[in-house]
Amino acid sequence: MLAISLGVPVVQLLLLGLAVSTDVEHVPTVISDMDNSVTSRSLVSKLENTRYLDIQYRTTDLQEVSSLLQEGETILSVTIPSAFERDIVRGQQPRISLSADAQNTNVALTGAGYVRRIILSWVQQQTKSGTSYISAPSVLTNTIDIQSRISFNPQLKSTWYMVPGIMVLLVTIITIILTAMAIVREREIGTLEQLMVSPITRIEFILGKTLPFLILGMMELSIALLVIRTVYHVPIEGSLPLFLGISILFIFCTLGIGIFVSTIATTQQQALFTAWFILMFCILMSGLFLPLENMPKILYNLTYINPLRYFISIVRDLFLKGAGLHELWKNILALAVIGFVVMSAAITRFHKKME
Amino acid sequence: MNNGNVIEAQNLTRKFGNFTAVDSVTFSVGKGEVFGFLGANGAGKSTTIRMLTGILTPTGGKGSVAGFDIIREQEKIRRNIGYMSQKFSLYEDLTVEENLAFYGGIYGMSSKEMSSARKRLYERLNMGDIRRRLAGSIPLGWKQRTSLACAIQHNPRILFLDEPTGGVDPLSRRAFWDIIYDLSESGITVFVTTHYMDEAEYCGRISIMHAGKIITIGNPTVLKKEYRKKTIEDVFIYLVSNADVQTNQSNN
Ligand SMILES: Nc1ncnc2c1ncn2[C@@H]1O[C@H](COP(=O)(O)OP(=O)(O)OP(=O)(O)O)[C@@H](O)[C@H]1O
Ligand SMILES: [Mg+2]
Repeated sequence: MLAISLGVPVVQLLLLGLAVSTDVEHVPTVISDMDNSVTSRSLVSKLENTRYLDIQYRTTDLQEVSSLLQEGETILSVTIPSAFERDIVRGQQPRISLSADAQNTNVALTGAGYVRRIILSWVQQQTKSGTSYISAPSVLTNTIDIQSRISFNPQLKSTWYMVPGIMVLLVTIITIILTAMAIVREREIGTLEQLMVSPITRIEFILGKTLPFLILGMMELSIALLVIRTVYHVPIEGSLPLFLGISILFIFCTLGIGIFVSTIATTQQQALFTAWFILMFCILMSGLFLPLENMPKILYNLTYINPLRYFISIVRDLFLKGAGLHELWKNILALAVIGFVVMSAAITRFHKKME
Repeated sequence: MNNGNVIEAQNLTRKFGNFTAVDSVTFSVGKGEVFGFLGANGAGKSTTIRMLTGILTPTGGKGSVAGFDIIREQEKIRRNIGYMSQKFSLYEDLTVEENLAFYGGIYGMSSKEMSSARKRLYERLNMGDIRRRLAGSIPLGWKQRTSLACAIQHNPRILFLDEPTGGVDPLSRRAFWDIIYDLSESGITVFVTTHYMDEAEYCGRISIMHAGKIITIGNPTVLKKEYRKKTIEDVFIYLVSNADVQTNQSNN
């Protein structure tokens, strides 16, 4: 049993890490138009009128741009240099710089690709309509130099983005399902009834049923960490003890969910079914496979109650950006609140009673 | 606690939705008695036991066990009773000895107390040979003894046994009843449910339950005389078919 619960996730980690890809739209973008000329504004409006990008900020403060990227507020930044119009007129290649937060390689690369295509199609348009100073189509590609800089995940490894998420996922699945099943199993075989008539307290029982899975979850996590370091070479830029500490907090949430499921279900099938339902929600709304930005508002608001969402974001920031307490505290607080609420609800629902 | 009764139930009732599983039952059990709780499948025996042991809240009536109220003082009751549920609840992947140690630990017994209790029980229940076997791998008769051992190792004053002999061969059943007698002689009150009518003959007093109601209560010999039947089985059949006729009449 122990071998299976520890071994299977490793295999899954290896398989899933290689098998993920997603569609991208509405990539959060910041535009800095330093030129603010007729020409540059025409390009900006072109960039604005596409569903591929979502221009969330416009600023000429480059400091702000880099902090927006750093904090994950936007994934792309497009900077049009100050002498843009003049340089085009003079036939000197102006340089548009494109920065991408490539933690989520898929979104960043696709987004950067969109920007390139949009700029090229704008150049093409300008040439055709004759409104511009760009004359010969042959120089099309040479008109503007697009310089891209991909930060935080310089080697562009999509696996670096996915694999830590999958590690988190596996721990979530294991701890929720095993906790729920363990309690419901006792209900099914009748030992729970036997325990209910004994002087054991609710808290003692719940501790006894969850502590082993906390330990198992942490073992799982350690093995997975080893795999993602040695097989995928995912960097862990941030503090490892901080990560382990937050992991305990997160597993506290999942154990609470597990107990809660066990108070709803009377058979192991029901427990498994309910646990999967909750897991499906947590996984789909976590931002791991589907970017949260693309979600309808109602669904997006639902993600606020999803502990997995916060933990995946924490893990990515901590691993790839080296984020510390200072950057992560909001997400950590969210986890703590969810853990407290879920655990209280679970304990309140769990009675030493049969009804 | 009134007049030495360790178990009392007054109009105890439990409904599940519209269905009344236990319908206003009243009875009492004195200290050291072996009280047989008879009834067919679904009569409401387990439901009554669960209310007395505090794991099911009555929807009506009241009761006390060991002098404590079954609704308000469940935790105090728990320290004074042993309970063997209908399912012989053992951890099948633990050995017999580990099961005993686990349940002993839950009752807060020290390892010294537990090992002396175990020694006594192995001897009394004649189960020395199976102590290292996995509980899942031993025959039903032995599982039954192991469950009993788990239920009595902390020296409860009152023992609730819910169909302890279900599915067990006649020889094991007889041996089991010998143990129940032993326990009763040492002052333990035994409340035992069964639907084996022959076992009723072993009890000091019995009640017969039908469709949630207690239809008669008394000493087996006295009951046989009263209804002029040779066996409790005959008394049971006579009373239950009578009760059915009455319900049918009142329905019409
Ligand atoms: N939790 C419950 N919800 C709904 N109905 C229940 C519940 N528990 C018991 N019942 C019903 O109450 C009735 C009495 O059940 P109970 O288990 O007390 O019978 P019993 O006399 O112990 O029978 P058996 O000999 O089969 O163990 C049955 O009809 C049963 O289906
Ligand atoms: Mg029963």
